[in-house]
Amino acid sequence: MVVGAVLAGPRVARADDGSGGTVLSVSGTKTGAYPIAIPVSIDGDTAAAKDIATVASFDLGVAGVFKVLDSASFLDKTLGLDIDPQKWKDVGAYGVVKYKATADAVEFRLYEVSKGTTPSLTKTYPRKGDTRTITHRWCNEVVKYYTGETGFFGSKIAFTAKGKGTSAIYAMDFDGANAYSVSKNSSTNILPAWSPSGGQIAYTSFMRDNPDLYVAPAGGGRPTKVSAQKGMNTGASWSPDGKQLAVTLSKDGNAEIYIISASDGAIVKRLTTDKAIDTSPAWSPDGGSIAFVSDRNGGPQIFVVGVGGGTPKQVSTNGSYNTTPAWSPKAGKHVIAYTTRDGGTYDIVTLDLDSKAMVRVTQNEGQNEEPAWAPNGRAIAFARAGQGVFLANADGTGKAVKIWSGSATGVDWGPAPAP
Amino acid sequence: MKLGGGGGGDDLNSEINVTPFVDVMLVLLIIFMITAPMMNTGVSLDLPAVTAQNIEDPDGKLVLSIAKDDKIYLGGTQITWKDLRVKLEANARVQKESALYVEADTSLPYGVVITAMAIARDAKVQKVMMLTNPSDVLKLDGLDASSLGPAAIGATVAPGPGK
Repeated sequence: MVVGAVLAGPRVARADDGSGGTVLSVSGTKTGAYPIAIPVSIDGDTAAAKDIATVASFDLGVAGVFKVLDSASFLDKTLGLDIDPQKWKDVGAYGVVKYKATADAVEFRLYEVSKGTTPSLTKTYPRKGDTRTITHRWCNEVVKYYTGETGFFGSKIAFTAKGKGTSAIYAMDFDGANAYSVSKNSSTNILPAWSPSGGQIAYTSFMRDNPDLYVAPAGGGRPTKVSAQKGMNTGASWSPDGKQLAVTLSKDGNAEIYIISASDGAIVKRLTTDKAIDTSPAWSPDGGSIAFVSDRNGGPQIFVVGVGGGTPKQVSTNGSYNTTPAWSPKAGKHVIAYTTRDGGTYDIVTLDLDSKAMVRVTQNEGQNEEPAWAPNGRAIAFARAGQGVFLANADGTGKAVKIWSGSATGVDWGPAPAP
Repeated sequence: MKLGGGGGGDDLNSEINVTPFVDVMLVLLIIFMITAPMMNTGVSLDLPAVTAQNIEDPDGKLVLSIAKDDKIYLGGTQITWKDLRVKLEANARVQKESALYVEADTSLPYGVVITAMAIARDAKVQKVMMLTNPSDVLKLDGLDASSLGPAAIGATVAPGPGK
């Protein structure tokens, strides 16, 4: 049984605090998701308690490993931070999050029902920041406890919001809250890319008519012009060390992939020399490769080339139209998500370059384009044409969740939040 | 790799249409009688004593208890009749197992127990396990005594002469 395997998963010693954590070996099927209950706290600051339950339910729901149980089924009326394990067994919960918010602090507990009344994890946060931030931090602890990975709650997503005759670069929290304009001009601004530190966003703007590349503070503010070659300066992707950018330039007439300096735009290396169109570069997390789109063999397909140059290798083999590659950030893995056209619809797929295994992330729901990975590789954000920005589990399970409504393109996910 | 979907609309469909069979299956509610000597839900009940199979693993079953005064308890927590359907529908365990254990006081009217079972069926429970007290024999004398009177029982037990 799949869920049984979850509980029987191996234990690992963790270097950070020396305690043990159960590693979730979620199989990728819907039934394999770990059922967790987050009852609304009914004592202490009840207004804050409702917000905390809402935020925690959203966070753990999109984490890619949990199934958040319907609170309508709950039977345990135990007050405070304790639980009655049998009552949680009765509603099918494996894990239970309890918390109590007071004016000074929020105390959280994570219980594993099979382990009885002793909490597996306890954290208290002073109420200095807002309860959303506190709840995101707690949910990151829960994800870390079960998976050993850093959660993505508290990270940010940038995208291009299309208006009438203009388009702006927006950034927002990963759950769609606190959206703001980064570009702050009335021109056309496209293709945002977070720097690895999260402090800057590179994007292409037509504010001086030519599509030039700028880098702006992620919080908004005056952009610095980095590359203003004749023709396109688009599709920036940062090197993992943040010192260089892979971009598409068409200064010699045809779109080619280049590596340039992130500080002054000086060309470091030209990676492609083909009469076909080469565009949409994506720097691999190990720093060694660039994926890009080329129509040199007919329709647009995904190619990979080493940062040192060489002959690009076609990696996508399905269908006749594949674009917008994005590398999974998972260390040791070589997985690329991209947009594929299948019949008349556009969907997100992932392709493991080593095993050739392909996973369909979206299906039968709208036109889905431009995937961006969560910093831990568990989720993928993408744009659904005419509808907005969505989050989906990277393993293709579950249903995509809308986080921003409107006409959006060019989605890019920022780095993991500071702990 | 083929990415699903997009089949031609003109193809003949040669598969058996199972929809009518599924409909039949859905209206079937499977009922078992089970003896649960060890089970304790914390609700005080007088269960009917009949011969029945012993329950396996008396601990950890989710039981719906109906007390003499019509109060209902799910897993020992009192809930309202109005909430029962939602509680069962939203319950991940009930939906996964599609099964529910029911114990009802022996004095309850038939209609009350049937109402609980109807709610369970509406909440997509497919198996209902009726809990009983252990007994080696069915106690039929008492029932006949109340339905026919003591004289009638005597008549059946001792056939008249001349037979």
